[in-house]
Amino acid sequence: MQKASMKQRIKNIPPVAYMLVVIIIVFSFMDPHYLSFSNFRNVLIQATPLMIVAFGQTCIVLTQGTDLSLGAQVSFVTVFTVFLAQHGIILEVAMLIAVCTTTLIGAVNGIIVAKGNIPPFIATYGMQNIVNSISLLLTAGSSIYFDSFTYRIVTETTILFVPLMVWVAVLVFVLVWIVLRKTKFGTNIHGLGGNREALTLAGISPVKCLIKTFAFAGFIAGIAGVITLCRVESGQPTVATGWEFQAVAATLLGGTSMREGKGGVTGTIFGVLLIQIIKNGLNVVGVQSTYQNAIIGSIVLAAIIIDAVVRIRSEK
Amino acid sequence: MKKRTVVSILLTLAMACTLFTGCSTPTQETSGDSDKKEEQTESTDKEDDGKEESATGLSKATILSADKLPITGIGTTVATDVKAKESYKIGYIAKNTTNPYMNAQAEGVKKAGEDMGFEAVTQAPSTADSVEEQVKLMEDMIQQDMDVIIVHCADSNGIMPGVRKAQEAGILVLTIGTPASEDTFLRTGVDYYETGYTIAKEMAEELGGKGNIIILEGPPGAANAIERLNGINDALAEYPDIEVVASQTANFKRTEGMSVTENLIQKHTDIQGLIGCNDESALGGMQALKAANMNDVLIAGFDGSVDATSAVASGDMFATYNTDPYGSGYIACAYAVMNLNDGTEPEGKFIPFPTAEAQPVINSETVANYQDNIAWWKAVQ
Repeated sequence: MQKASMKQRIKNIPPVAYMLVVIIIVFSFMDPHYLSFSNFRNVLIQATPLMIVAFGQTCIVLTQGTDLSLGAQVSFVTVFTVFLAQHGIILEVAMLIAVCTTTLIGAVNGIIVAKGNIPPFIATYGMQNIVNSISLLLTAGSSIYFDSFTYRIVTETTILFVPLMVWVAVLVFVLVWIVLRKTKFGTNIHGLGGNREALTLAGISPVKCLIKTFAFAGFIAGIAGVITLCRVESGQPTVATGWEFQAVAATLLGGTSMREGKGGVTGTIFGVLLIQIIKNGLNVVGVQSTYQNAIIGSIVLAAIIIDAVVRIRSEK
Repeated sequence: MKKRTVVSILLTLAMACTLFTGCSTPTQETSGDSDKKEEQTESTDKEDDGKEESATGLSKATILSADKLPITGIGTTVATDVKAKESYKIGYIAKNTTNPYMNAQAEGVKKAGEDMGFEAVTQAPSTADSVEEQVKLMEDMIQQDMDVIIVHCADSNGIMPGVRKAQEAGILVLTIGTPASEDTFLRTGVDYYETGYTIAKEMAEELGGKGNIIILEGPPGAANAIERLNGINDALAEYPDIEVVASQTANFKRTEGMSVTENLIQKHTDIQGLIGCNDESALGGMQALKAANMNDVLIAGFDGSVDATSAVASGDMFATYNTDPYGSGYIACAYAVMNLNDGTEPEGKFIPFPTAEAQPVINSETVANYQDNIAWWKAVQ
């Protein structure tokens, strides 16, 4: 019994984690600047917005879906908050309103997906375009600006040597972890991906649950948007374009499966860190940006293949 | 349950309505809107700083005659006497790696590294034009103990956190093209307004001060595109008999330039001129006009790219403007090295390059010389 749980535990560490260690060692041999505390802090700061989005995406992936509108929602929050602030609403209140709005957008996504039984891919793709378009309308295409010290409180206040924004990511992680592991709602999310029929038989409405999940992801994307706003200090209608895909990639890298409703947010942390550490490392070591995407792509592919091999072997 | 359904339907409807109103807004109005917005931000900026500054809150251009510049020549003919006295590390951050223009700028920085004797590190965001990634790159460069960071900003406001961090770390920050929203050590590269004004004036003169013109704008809201468009419009406003019959965005892309022009010439059949806010969109417009047998239309663009210059040489295009990314990267390095050597301050906070004195307009007369001796794209071929 105990042996099995040990094995289970080792199996639970996604292969990405090992990959991370290898990559960090390689980079630190390549450049003396790499292995420093301040650089590690840089990686954390840089990974934070995507990390938060990926936590939300993980919930969606667990239900066998993807939310392609999350990136657009992040951009929208930066724009909408600044837009409201420019029209006389206190910035912090504007942030709250923006987060509520993305929660609502998420709910609408959920309603379309669940009630219409429409594949999330296409439903959220539609929403992505609508939200992007609204962001562009609010800004007339450019970036918009509202001066405030709040941004710098979030990005520059440090607690235990790490800026506040990173702690926000930690909080979101704890929240999502608790929701997924300790609440009924979390069990239902796993159920949506794993065994939808069993869920219905147990008297739980998959429709309601799906709507809640999408709304939850929207809420988290809203938080990511606020953090991103503090980081770029302006409303940028296209700042998070493509993050939804990176978030999906990070989630899958982290070992969350699109088929069985298995996995969780802990793995996602490694997935995001892998992507971010490669990017940062390639920059610090000074690799030409032309080659960077190819290298990132190869490493991601390698990680996912190793993951697949490990899984197939363990199944045997 | 029913209540929820109603609410959800209402919400969806509301969203759909926003979408439709968004779509039905004529593009011309949108461009007008963006101009207005620009003015608004300009005026608020003005209130912030009462100092002698231009409308954007940044220092005005200081135009230097050629003998005052630290480098000689333009395009691939650039050279300098400036030499690094110690070993310096200079980092350059482009907007993307997908545009030959940006690659040529990186080459200019590398060439400067060879000529002046410093280590040049060039980077670009992996997502094209992502200011957020540019900030990350700046943070990574601060990590690498750069002495100078030169950045072609993807966005003026968005780059500020990176600029501030670099300055706090004691690193000189220079911008090329799009400036940061606050003055840095130096801004160089072309004055976009000036480029637009010059090309539009050339065209208006060639047309004898009258005719109908189509403008293919840059991406909505991009600062450089707006400045250039303002330059074009200001120049054309001086000619009462010239009418801008349509001004729509082609997003700096050839395919969009082509399709937008195809659509526009359905309605506007009497066209004498077309100005694309960069070469790519102008070339797209050219293809559309050719296909419609409208061969007498004067076509102008900006940047002096490979295809545009050969179109000028063959007479298909009227003119383009050498915005010289190669030389801009080079001159930025020269100013940086001079300051690192002995603390030399540049004559202003914005020193445009190339200036009118360098005759950056490429037309049928100057094109041969440009292609043979100057063209920046030879650096990346």
